[in-house]
Amino acid sequence: MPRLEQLVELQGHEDRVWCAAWHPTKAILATCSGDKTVRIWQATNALDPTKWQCTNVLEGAHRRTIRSVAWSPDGRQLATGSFDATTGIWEREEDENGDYECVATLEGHENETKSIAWSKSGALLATCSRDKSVWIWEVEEDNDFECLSVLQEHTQDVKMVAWHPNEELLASASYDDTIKIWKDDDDDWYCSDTLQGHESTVWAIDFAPSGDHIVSASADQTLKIWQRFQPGNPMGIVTPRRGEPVWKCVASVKGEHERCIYSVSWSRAHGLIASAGADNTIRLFEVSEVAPDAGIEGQLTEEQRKALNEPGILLQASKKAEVKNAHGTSDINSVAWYPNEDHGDWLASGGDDGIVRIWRLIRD
Amino acid sequence: MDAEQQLPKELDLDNLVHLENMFVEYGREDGLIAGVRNGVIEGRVMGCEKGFEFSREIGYYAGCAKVWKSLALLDPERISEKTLKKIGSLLDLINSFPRQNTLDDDIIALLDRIRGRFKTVASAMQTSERYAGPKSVMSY
Repeated sequence: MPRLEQLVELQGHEDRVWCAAWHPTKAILATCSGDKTVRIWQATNALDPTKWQCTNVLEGAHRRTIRSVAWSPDGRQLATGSFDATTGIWEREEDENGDYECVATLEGHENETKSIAWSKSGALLATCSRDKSVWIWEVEEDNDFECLSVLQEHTQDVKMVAWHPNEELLASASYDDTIKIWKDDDDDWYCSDTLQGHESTVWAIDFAPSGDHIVSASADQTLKIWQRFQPGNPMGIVTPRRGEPVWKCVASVKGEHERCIYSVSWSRAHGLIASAGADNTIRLFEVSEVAPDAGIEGQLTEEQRKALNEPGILLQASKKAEVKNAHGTSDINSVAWYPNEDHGDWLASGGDDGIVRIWRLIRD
Repeated sequence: MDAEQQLPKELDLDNLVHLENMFVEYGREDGLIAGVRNGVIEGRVMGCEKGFEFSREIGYYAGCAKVWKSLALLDPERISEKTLKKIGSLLDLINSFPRQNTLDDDIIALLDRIRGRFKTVASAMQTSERYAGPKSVMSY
């Protein structure tokens, strides 16, 4: 069985760690915290992944907790979303060992910014907030950001935004228990689908590497996997809006997490899903297809599919590994797989104990 | 003869027994009539209030958008054509908002779109202008 082995423990934050984000191409990790700072961590020796140091502390730009952090796809910029309602854009100065400087501040949300995400092309930035809205910003020259759209269809706090891995398609997760899918129609963004099924807050979402599935983590202690069905799909799922695909739940992981699940990460490198939350445990799941006659609860026959217009259970996520008390008795707020093959077996985690850990996946 | 005399007595007794139920029934009917009358009045007042609320908010957006449009036309250097286009689409949405009574609840969704578009334009205009809502509560 695979297992997770701790590579290194990174200490420095003075309050709970909210989010960890890997640089898109280099072995650099950014983490943010209730101490209003971002810390940049880097391996000191390319050959020894157990030696890391904090190279930069980004501070002074936010008046309150920094809730989320995200690298631009080219790795040049870092965005920070803070409870002070603003989003900061940071750039590293050119010279070696240069400091990071806050080059832009995006204002507009009425209160706590919860999450930020860059689109694959780096041309768009999405932010979401407790004010129930999702904002889409266009990245322009000279660190100028122009708001393209303000989307206010969630009825509660929006917890997280995530872009499709290669399309300009945005997903948002909310305290209203739903996930919404947003699309662009000639600079006019609209909600193309609402994914209902969770029985409590959806805390986190991540796309599969292919972009045809979304995994969601909820306070209802389940993970769900949603699949995109194009018009005219072989399963016969009806797509009510002309030419638009629909997303349907095809797997539900129950009985694993014993408390709220706060974070989920779907590896781009090997396809394992990592999840963690208030039960202090990191769990890894492998997704596989379910045989048509496996007799699993929730599987539907062809007639039932037609009658309900639901695909039923098509996928299975089986637990491959777990680390109990990965941050002692503290909640785990964030897990993040390294984004490419170079170090695809690395997983970062951050918790209420203010500690960041990097784990390595060992497959025997 | 005995039987004939006893029958009406039994009936009287029945009336007495059901007296309470009968009054309850009368009261219920009166209540229904009064309820319909009051409900219609209350509904009208609520409709007026809501109509006022919506129109006031829409009017505020319309006012801002018109001022911004004239500013944009006066100073195209500072306010880009792109922003002007956004103001135009905000005005289009505002103009599509019904001015007469409608039973269509799509107007709530439309209002939300206008709110969002307004914030987009306000952000482009680099202002934190926000609709604050009525300061005093009207009473009827």
